[in-house]
Amino acid sequence: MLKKIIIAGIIGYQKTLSPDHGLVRVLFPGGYCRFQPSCSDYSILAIKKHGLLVGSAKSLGRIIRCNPWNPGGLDLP
Amino acid sequence: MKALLKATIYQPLFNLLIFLVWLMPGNNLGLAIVALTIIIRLLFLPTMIKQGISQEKLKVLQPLIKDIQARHKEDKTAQSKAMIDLYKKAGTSPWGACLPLIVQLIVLGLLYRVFQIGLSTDRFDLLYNFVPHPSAVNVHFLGIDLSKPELWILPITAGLLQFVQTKLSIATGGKGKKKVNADDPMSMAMNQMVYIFPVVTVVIARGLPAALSVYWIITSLFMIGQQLYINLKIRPKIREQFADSEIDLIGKFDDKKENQKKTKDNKKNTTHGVSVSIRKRGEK
Repeated sequence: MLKKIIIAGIIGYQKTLSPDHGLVRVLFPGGYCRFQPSCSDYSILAIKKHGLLVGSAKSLGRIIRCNPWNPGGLDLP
Repeated sequence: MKALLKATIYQPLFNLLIFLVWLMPGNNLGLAIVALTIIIRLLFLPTMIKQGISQEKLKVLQPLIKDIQARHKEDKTAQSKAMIDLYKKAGTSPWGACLPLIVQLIVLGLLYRVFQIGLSTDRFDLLYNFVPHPSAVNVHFLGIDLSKPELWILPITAGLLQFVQTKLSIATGGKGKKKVNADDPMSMAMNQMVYIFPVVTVVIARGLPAALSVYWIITSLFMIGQQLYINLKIRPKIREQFADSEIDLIGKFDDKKENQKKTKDNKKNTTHGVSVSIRKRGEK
């Protein structure tokens, strides 16, 4: 149940604020994210695959990895 | 958790701000905020320029990206793999990152917090020993009290600058100008965002301490400069190299997608012209 709420929250973020999925993606026609999937997609996949606790921890790790000094690339949970 | 955030993020930034206040003539908070903003933007400058350049190149790939997203809507893993594949073939990839966005949000939050707890000297217990303590903080800047919301000049300036910045960054300019497709409600809606966001900015800025508007204005000015550099210096070079090949490029990529399972040599041949032209640019 909590899992569903969290995932709905992430999807809500994707529809609005997200630079890769949301309203401002007009600014980034070639995509925004250096990682594939994007952090939000990654989080959804991770929570579905590993459960809320481990999935969230993995998501947090991904967000920290998603910095200007990381070359990015394919990174699945 | 709250204590951790306070010690690792909030406190260092607060110290930096107060140090800048101490550095500025007349302990002026406005000047300190300008300096803080410029420091933050300079930290992100290399990555922002890199990102801008790759965005320019990636604009050409937009139809292919949309196609991939549509085809793999249900399977994010396959979608990711296809995207990486496309970026590899194009020889470039986006440079956006979450962390800078989060840092910017935190800075906004910090500036807000600073005014919540007040800039009176009694919060200086948060300062590190080696940070000089200014005797007082002057919150007046250009005749405006930065600790209180200012309703007109600063918010509207912030909104206008944001509009200019957004316009500049989506303007394709020159030859490759793409008209908004009126049949596509999505692209219409997005085009409206260019007008809606500045208005939202004005509304929000009116409700927050004027210091935040100053931060906003300097950020926008900086980004406008950045964007002008990309539009005027980088874009012509990229356009030049894509001018003849844009349609071909898409055709070639489509070919490749269909022949994806063929040998790697085949793939290389089909993208030859594209990858070469992109590399040339990279060398400059």
